[in-house]
Amino acid sequence: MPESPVLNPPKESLVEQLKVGEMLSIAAEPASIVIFGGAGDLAHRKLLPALYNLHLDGLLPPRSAIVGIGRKAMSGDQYREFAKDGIKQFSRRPLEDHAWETFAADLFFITASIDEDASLAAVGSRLDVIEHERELPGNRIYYLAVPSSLFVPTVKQLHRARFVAKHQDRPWARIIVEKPIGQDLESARVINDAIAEVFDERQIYRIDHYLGKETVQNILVLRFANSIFEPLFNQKYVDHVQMTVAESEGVGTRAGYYEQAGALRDMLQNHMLQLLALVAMEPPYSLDSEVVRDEKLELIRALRRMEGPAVDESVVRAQYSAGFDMGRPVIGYREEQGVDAKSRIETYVALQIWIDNWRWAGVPFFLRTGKGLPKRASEIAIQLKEVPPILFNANKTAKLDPNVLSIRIQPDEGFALGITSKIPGPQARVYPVQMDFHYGTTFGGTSPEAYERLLLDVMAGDQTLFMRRDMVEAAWQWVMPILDRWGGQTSEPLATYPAGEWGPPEADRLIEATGRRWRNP
Amino acid sequence: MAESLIDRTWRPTTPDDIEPDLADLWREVGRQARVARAVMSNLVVVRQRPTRSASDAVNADAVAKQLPLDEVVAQHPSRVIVIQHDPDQQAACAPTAVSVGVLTFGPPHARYGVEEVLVEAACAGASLPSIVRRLLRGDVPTSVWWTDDLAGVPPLDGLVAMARQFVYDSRRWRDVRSGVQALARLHGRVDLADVNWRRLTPLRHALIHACRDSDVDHLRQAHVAIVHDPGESALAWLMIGWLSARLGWPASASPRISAASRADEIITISVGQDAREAALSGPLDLHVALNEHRVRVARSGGGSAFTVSVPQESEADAVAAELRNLGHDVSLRDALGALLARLS
Repeated sequence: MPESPVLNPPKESLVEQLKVGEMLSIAAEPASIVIFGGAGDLAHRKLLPALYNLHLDGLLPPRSAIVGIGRKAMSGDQYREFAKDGIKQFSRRPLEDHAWETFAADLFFITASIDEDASLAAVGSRLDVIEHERELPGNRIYYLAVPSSLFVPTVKQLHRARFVAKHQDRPWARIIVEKPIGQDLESARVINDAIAEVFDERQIYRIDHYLGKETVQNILVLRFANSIFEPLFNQKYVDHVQMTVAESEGVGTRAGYYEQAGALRDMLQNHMLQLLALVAMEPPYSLDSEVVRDEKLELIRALRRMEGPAVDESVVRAQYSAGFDMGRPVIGYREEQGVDAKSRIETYVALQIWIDNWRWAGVPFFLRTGKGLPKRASEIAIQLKEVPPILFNANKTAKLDPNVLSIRIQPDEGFALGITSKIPGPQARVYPVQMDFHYGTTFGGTSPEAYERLLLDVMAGDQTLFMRRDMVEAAWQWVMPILDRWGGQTSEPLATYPAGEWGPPEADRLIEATGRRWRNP
Repeated sequence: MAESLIDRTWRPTTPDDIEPDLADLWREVGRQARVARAVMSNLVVVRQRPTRSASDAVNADAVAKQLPLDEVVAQHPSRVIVIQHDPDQQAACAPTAVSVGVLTFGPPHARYGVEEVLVEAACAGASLPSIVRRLLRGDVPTSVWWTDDLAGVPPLDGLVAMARQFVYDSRRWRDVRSGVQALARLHGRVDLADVNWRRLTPLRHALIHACRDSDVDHLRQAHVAIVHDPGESALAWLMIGWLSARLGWPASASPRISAASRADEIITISVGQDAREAALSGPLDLHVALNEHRVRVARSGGGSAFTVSVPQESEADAVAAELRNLGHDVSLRDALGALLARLS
């Protein structure tokens, strides 16, 4: 008698056996999420609301503990009130009583200072108790929601208190660090070296929240899941690419940080180069995190370096002056509280850059970012070449609008393809129309916040949307000659633009000298 | 005309919540039925603020009653930004009231919708552009529709600079000279679209047809007399401008222009060796009359009379048609240029 076929060969464990054929909503393992700076602004506005939303969706692994660490003396109840307030104000979905009750039970707070060895030892003991009571396997995520100047001391304390076992698979320890990773290449290396002494690269998650946005993730889908677009993404068809990351607000309460950073360090070196890499990289051969990150790194390495006078020709920096924000008069950057009255920190930067590879040879990329601009909006626009000046494009005084694929990162996430269409009627008249896709109306509901996706990925051990060390340092390497050039220009006048306008005239001239114009999102 | 209006959903909001509230409205509308979000352009409608207290919410229904906006966007789906401003204000300020809305049109199987932002801004002209700039979508053309009399409320440079097209209605001008002079600053900077100018189209075409076999010098040297309805002086002057541009009349040339109330005709043009004579003589003697339905051309000297139909257009039809036409209107540009020279 023949043997019956084995339908489900034995797996390593019962869990593995049960998982066969299941699309699990909880891909992550239970862990303690330890937030240094747990009573700070980032935790209040972003992290706790994100964790609450994961909880609402049933994506937070059961029994997980969320442990805030901070200098402030705060009881568990006070911390839960702090979290509740953050969720009420900043969660994309309202606080629900039943969900809050079960979420609140996962919240803890430990008062501690990383300056004191004994303090962190006490944290360790308390964490052990929490994990024991909740039957957690000891997996830990350490989220450094603190200024980058505290990264190195915090990591050293984690090491000293024996919180981390390098190369150990189970229970695992992972660390999340927020941008900015350093102020320059040298300081970035110092931070990376210090973290690398304690954590293996596979354990390190350098977060850039832009990469957690749905639309940013959709860039790869748009390019590599549609046969219509990818064949056009090259120097044969693309005239130029524009990227705008605009903020309407001024520096506000962040003057202390911003005076040390500026637009180039704050936005371009990280967010915008990451976006650029996604838009322009070669197709990866798989979606494995290392493969995708290898391709992004190659793209950054292909950026043409600007040095010396070439910086002045291709980069415009400026500061906002007094102007208007939605009709209200607003002060200029140098009048902001905490800003040096002679500050030379740029609140706006625009660049024309080139990618020296086969795909993009000769295609200019125009990037700009700034504060005090008319609206908060981020957009990538890929403008295709014009049709020949014959037939419908023969009229020199009424040129056809070129086709543009625009990807809206925020707000109103989606993308649009601008095409030219005939206006119904007896005459051969044309009009630029949009084929427009909006996430909000197509898929309904609200998209998850970037931090939700990124926290979930850390729990699941997926590093695809995080920056690898070599990527961070390659980006700094490319940016350093610009910073060096500016550092040597201490007396040249700095361009300005009135708050509420789209940047200085110098930036308009930068692009208009090539026969193109900025496209305002 | 497009399908009739099905629904208007709107709510008061704050300047900071405009986009989130619009997104909410779209989701709300989308939950009820499938609706395509349509936008071909930004339509910035600028109008003087109605007199009432600053705390009153912006009433979208009241705006809809005063302007044929719904009919316009049904035909030319746009992101509508209505700015109700106070041209006499000197102080910069934030909007005093804002409402957002979604209008949906068409049958259930082909329903489409547009979004509206209504802003009350009793602000100085210098601060208005920062409000509009925030609200524009950059990936579609921008048209400014100036609904007030340009002579009384001249266009704001900062707003015009954002636009590709400037739509106005010279029929609203109380004083033609002031209206033309208000346009002087825009001339060549933006595509001008005059809703009133469209009404002259059949008249111009009829005249072209009538003069097909004539010598241009004869027409240039002919006497021209224009009689218009008392409310149609802008139309008459636009005609003068066009003839001046096309015939190369010097600014000193003086066609006769007069107003008279008649039962039927809006404007008549008499062209001849002596247009003052009732009986016209010579190959170029013409009498062209426009009413609401047709242009009638009568010729002396053996030419047969003919008529040209006048397309029936509502104000909304005309505005929508102009919004669809983004090209330079060379005839209007030349006519205004000639009028500027004549009236300056």
